[in-house]
Amino acid sequence: MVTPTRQMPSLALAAAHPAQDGDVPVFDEVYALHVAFVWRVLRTFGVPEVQVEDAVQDVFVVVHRRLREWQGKAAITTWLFAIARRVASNHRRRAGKPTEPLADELVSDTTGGGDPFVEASRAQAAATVLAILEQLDEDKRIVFALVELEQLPVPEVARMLDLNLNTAYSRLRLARQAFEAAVRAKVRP
Amino acid sequence: MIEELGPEARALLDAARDGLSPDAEAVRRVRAKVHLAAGGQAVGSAIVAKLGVIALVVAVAAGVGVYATRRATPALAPAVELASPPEAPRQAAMHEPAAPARAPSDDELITIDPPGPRAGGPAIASGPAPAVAPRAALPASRAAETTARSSVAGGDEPGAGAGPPGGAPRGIDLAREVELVDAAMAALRAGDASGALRAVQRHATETAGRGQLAEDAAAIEIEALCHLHDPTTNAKLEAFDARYPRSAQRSRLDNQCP
Repeated sequence: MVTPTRQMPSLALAAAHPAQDGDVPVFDEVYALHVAFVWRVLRTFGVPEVQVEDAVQDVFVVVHRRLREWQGKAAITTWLFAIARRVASNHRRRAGKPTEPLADELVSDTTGGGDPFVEASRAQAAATVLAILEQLDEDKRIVFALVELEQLPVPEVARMLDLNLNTAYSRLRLARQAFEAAVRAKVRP
Repeated sequence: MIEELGPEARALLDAARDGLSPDAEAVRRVRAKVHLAAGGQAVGSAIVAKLGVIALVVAVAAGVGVYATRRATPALAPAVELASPPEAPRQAAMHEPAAPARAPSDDELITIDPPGPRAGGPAIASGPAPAVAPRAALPASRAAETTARSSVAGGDEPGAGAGPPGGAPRGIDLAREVELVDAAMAALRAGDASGALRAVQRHATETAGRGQLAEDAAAIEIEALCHLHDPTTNAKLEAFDARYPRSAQRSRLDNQCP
């Protein structure tokens, strides 16, 4: 159940920062490094678990087609994020559902072939986090997820979302407060 | 200074990160699907492939037309001879080469489409054949046959490729359609979405929206509008879905303009 970006997403993402002139990244490398990032971003954007695999496929089909067009002017994560955002929007529109993630699905979907207790624990944690994130508006949720789940630097997140840096920090601060309060309420109700 | 998360929240996020990530099997499965879907760049090149086939058909038809004209000239004196029954098999034989070139269906040309109900788009072979004015020199039976065949026969019309005079849509030949759609696609590929739209608009004008490549032109238009972030994109997409519910272009639009 370990994927390249699972353990150190931020390092993997940073490693793929702007390519040199004429340096077109290899699709399989981009996929291996960033599939988990794309997967989580789609979940954070509210793509239901049952649709996320299709959505990830859609993102990477676009990536496959346009990889040569990506000229390294921005971090590849920014590019991937933009594609994922559009794909998520499209999937939500098709599904006719609101933007909130469906946390309940995760509890029963313990994927992977590892220790079932560990898997169940991770799935439960994911469901809990998504349930908390549901309470945040999307602006704060995305900033929080990119910084805290993906461990991206705030300035990079601000660039990704085309935000003023102070706005990004402000959203992060508010989201952290809300998240912390929600965790405390769950741990010590 | 921004308040940091406490250890419990941090631990929860660390566990959730793993829980929200795909397992190795899903990673492999999706990668295989992507490679399968993008394997031949098939959807992206579907129109190009289709246009290639059409161009081939037009070229063959034009060649046949030239050949037929040259061959028929010495025998034209008795015009009745052309209209006589023995000519019919010869006519069929002359058009025979074009048939295989038209044979490939969308299913053969487009391999990227995800599984789903699709019975081939309303493409070249199934599209309504625009009426082509028969050449005056042709006898009625031959003219009728020519008309009954597709506008491919228009490729040997005088002025082919120049567009219908006075904007009359009925006379547009396939070569002209190919030219316009090809130009639109080339502009799109070059990143000139506005140029693509102009070419598509010209196609719509010259064919009155009833061209054999109307579906392809509509798909290019939507992709161009999407590139331009035009607010009418979604409405165009809905209209496209309504008009071409089983279009082979649909998944390409999803991919290119999600």
